[in-house]
Amino acid sequence: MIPSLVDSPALLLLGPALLLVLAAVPAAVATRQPLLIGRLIQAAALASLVCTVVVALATSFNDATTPATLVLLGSDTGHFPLALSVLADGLTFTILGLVSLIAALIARYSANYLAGEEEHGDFYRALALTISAFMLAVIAGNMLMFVLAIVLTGSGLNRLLTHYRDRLTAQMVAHKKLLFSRMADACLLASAVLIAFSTENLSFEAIAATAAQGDLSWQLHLAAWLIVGYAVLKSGQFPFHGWLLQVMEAPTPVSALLHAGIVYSGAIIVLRTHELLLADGNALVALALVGLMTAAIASLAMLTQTAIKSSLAWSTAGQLGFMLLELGLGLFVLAVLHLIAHSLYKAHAFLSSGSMVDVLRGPGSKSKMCVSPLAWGSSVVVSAAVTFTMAGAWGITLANEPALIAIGTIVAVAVAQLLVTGWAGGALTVRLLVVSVLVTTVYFGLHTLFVGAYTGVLSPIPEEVSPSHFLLLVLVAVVFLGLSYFQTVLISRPPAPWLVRLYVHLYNGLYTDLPVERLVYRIWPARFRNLLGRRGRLRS
Amino acid sequence: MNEQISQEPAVTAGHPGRWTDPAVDAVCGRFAPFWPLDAMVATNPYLGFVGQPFDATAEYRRRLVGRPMTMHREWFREQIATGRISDADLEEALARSGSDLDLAGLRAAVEEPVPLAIPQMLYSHTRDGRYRPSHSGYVVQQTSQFCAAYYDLGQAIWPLPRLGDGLYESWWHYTCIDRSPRGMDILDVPETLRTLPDSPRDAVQVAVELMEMPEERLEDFLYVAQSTVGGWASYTRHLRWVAELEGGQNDDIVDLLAIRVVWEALLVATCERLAHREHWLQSLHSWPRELRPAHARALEVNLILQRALEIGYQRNLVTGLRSATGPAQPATEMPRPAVQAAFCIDVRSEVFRRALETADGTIETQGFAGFFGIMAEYRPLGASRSRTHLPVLLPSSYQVCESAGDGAGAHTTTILSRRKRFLGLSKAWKQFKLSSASCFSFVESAGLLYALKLITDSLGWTRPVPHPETVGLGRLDLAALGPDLDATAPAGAEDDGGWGIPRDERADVAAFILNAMGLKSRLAPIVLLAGHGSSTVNNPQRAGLDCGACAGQTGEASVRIAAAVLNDSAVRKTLAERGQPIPNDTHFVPALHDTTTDEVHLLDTAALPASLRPALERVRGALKRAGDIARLERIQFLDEEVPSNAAGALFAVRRRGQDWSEVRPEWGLAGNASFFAVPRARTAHMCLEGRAFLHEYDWCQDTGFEVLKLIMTAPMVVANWINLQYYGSTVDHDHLGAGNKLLHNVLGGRIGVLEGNGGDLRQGLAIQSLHDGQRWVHEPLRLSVFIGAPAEAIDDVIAGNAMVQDLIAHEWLYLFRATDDGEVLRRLPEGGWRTAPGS
Repeated sequence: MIPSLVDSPALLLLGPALLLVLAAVPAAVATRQPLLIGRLIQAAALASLVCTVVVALATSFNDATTPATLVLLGSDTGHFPLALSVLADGLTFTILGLVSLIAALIARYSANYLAGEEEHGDFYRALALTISAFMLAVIAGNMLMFVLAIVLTGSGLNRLLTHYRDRLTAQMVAHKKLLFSRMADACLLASAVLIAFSTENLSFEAIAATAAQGDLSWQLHLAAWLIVGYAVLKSGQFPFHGWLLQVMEAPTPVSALLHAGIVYSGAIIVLRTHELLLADGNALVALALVGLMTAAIASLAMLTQTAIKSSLAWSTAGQLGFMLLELGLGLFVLAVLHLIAHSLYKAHAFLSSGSMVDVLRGPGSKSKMCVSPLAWGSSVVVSAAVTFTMAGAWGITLANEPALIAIGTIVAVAVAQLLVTGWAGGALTVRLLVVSVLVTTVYFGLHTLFVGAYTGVLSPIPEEVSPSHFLLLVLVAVVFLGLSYFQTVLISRPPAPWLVRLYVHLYNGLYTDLPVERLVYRIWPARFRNLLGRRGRLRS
Repeated sequence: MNEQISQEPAVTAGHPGRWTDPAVDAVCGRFAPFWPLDAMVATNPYLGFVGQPFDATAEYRRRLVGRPMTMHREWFREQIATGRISDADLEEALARSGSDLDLAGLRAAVEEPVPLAIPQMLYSHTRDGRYRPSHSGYVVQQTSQFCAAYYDLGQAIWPLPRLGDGLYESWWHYTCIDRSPRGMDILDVPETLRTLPDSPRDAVQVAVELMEMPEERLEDFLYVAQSTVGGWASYTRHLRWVAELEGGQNDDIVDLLAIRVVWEALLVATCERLAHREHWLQSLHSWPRELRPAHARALEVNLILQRALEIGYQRNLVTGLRSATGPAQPATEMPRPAVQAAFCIDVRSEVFRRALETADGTIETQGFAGFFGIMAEYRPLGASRSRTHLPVLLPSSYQVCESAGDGAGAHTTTILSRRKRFLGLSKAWKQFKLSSASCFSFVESAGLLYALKLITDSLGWTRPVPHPETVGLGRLDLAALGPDLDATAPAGAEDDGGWGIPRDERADVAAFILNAMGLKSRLAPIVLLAGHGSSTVNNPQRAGLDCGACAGQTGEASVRIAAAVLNDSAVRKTLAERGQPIPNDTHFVPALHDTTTDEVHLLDTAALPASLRPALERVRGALKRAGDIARLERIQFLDEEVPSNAAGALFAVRRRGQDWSEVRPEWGLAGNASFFAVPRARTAHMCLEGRAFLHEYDWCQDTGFEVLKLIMTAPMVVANWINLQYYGSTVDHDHLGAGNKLLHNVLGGRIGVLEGNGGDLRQGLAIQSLHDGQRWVHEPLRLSVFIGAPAEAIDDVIAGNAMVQDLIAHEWLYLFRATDDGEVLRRLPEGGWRTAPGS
């Protein structure tokens, strides 16, 4: 009796349900008692975290071969498969646990951070709505529920982004964001409709089963491309990244929530439907290429940024690009690792963005040195040796995992970055070598751990690849070697004129946002209605 | 010092034929300097205007840029309604203003609606429209973004490559490459730019000629243009200030003006519709030369109300001073106290000093600028640059570095190499974290650790980043390290003999300190020198809460140096030979007052003679009790739920200091409104509510009035800067304040903050430092200065210093004189003394 209760997917609904109730608290009550609402949100998010852990543990002790599904409403099959359902698999547990933790911390942070704000209560209500809706998207067992939840998330987020409605820029950025967001939602909805008509079942399991039979209909091919389109639009991928960079017009916790949670909706839906995308094939390649391009451009643009939050936002765009690249290469397990790790890292980075001055107030190191191509080359060779040895130690070789050519190179150039700074000093070099070995050990350890943890939930890392896929892997390796060479060698020396031009263009984000900005102003200008009297005390 | 304070822009001789230069220099002189975040000291935002009266400045700013210089009318109406401004205050203010209104007329005028102040428009403003991104905003954004790249102090990993000489030339090259103007429909920018000269001053002239600017409107136009990038103007003015203090010069502020003016010219030159341009030129000709009657009346009423507000505040102080019990005993005849405790003049010390006097009546307290007269820069161990550790008005004389007490000996070297290794590792790790090729692998290998960090940081158990002072140092290292007075160069720096404080000059330093503090005679066995600092985390404007007299650092290094000098036996021997002995049993103890928690930490107590230990324990106990009293007084302004006991209060303030989400760790200097240079005996009975700067001064001991001159030209001016920074940030928050902390975006590593996404660099204080969400915690009042000295002596100092003269004659502060017989007189702006109104 008890086991059947604790491993029921219904338990996963507790957190989102409580949060939904908090979102529905009357505005007058919330305004009077903002801190209480905040504490309740924390409690609800923590309850959600506990439920997730309980259900996850209970499920792991049950030897069920298929993950538990709970249909809430309607039916998953038939001509109109309109149903809402909850899927309790490993992916759900991971991401729901993560979102619950981040949500609790952000609610806690917002208590003192927004203290004294007139709309503290409203802020918390919108926060509860956004988190609840996003949690529902995370636990969604079918396309329909996912689409509805994500549309609701967008609305909640829009309220958070326009917390300062009297700021023109806040409004315009929110408009821009909502425009992209709704375009993406439309893609997903269209995809859902196409899938509904061709498989007559919207549940992710059914989609996977259909995809496993191979030989997709044209509707399913198109649906796969639409899902990729959704992921690209929602993940702020180049050239649709403008909105992601400008959402600093809302209080810091909102940026943290967005960058550490909501931007992953694209990755989540790709993970949920990855069997379909694998069956299609080409859409994933497109996803990988877009991701690779964004990762390269954004990580370079990040280097030029002078404002901490802009730098963090560019970094998010790049990291999401990298995650989509991993998804596109079929490394779904690694993408999950990236998602969790990046979410935690970025939440911390945003919440602590005020500490930049403290970092620079301490004793600084001297100006950077000029790195010769030879020094770079030897660093890469050493680190490649370390990396591939450690990979081998964990049983990962090119023979059983061809993707190692790409991920091995990526890790190797990263470790080279670590080594190249300490090339000169004796004691430091030894320490850095130790750190390098540690980093690669942890990296491949986590790699192995995640592959083990997600067997059966996600497609494994392919053991054989087609020649064209191999070419793609080589391309990735070459791009990362190039990035490393570019930053380590080229930037550190007196710049060539083309580098100066590139700097200016990158610093300005390659100007891709300007046409979008103008479009948004034309079709959806800011409005300042009902603002009289609000914040009047601050303005004369 | 006089030369440094009244800095006039260095007029470069340049072209004799350039008719625009006088206006350019005049406008650049109007912008006050603003220091970067790691040394954020308060500066008077109206510094460029002190040469003209307060009222005239208010008129000028309202007329040209539409900015207020008093609170808004609604706020004043509340003050009248609550009785904060009384009829008597209004009458007194009316009498001084020379207005044609009578009290009834004034009361009626107060209720009249206030017409909206409208800023004058530049050409870029006329091109703004609802259905496209604003051009004026774009111009500011482009300029600001470029300046951020040009001046970046540590954020950018790929910094701006060298494009040319100076700000303007670099911008010129940058903008020729930048494609964003085309994206904004501003065509042919590179082509037009190439037709302009490459010297900024020439560029201004060509640009305004291209716009057909009438000569008599030039200065107004330049001021309005530069005001749109006022934050950067202040930053470049700070560069000029620092350069001039070191004997150099810096003209970047002119470059900035050139950039801003050239932008207008570019828009004019590339405009297709001639009618637009004609229209704007016409409007420029008709920019008002004086306020229209309704506006003038509104301004006049606001200024009277402002004065009434200040008079109301002064009444209590005047009455308080008059009621001082009996004539103060000549200081030399009073018995020797057991303990003297000297604090910074900072208003937060007032609360603590009052508490300490309550906690232990045998302790005498003192007020002195928190750098305690040590004119030094300080170089922490392993740092690659020294930091200024004295008021920014003054040039430094010494460079002191940190060591383990053995010069560059073995112990120091060991600690240093350990710290260097740690810093080297963190640098490599940072590179790993932030490089374009490695950031992805960083996330996948180390990102999961942030789960733990997020939780511990949220609970306040850990700091988001290591403390800048203690990073890479162990507990034992910290205990061993301290300022080293001896002339040893830190590792890595050149030993040019300029390190430490030379032995033969130490006696002079000590004599200067004792003389300025009025401690020539009558020294207690224990003299506490308490600097101050705040303890907050994740707060970009933390330096603003630290000691302003120590250039935005904590006072720790200064007090430790001062105590070391004063405890030096060789110094004492020299002083005794000069007939100015320090008693043998007197020991100076450095201390640090944590203004966030009101705890006082005693430093370097190991050097204390054993005979003084019991006395020190007593001081420790008194400080602890004083902390409890001060905390309870202060916490009611911070917390809604005031803790019921002392332990609860201590817990609450410590929580604030460790909470990374706290935007109001303490109120800083909010509320500051007065400055006293009188013996403590005359103010000890008054509750000054943490609003007063208290400087110890007894004119009887001041031969030649050298100390008076020092006080009026340095601490008083600094207090005035702080006061007007709070004033400006409150009354004109949108332009002179730093905006909302929730949106702060640290720029250039430590240059300053942006509010949100972009726009101009913000200066001044954040709204959370002034406003608690319901009401303004800072009441904007000009500083009321009370000095206990003979009229002639004060008048002499005023006459001898142009800056002080300006501040008083132009009513940037109020000056009062407390006479020896308990009377308080007010100095008229035009000169002369009159009895001050009491309550």
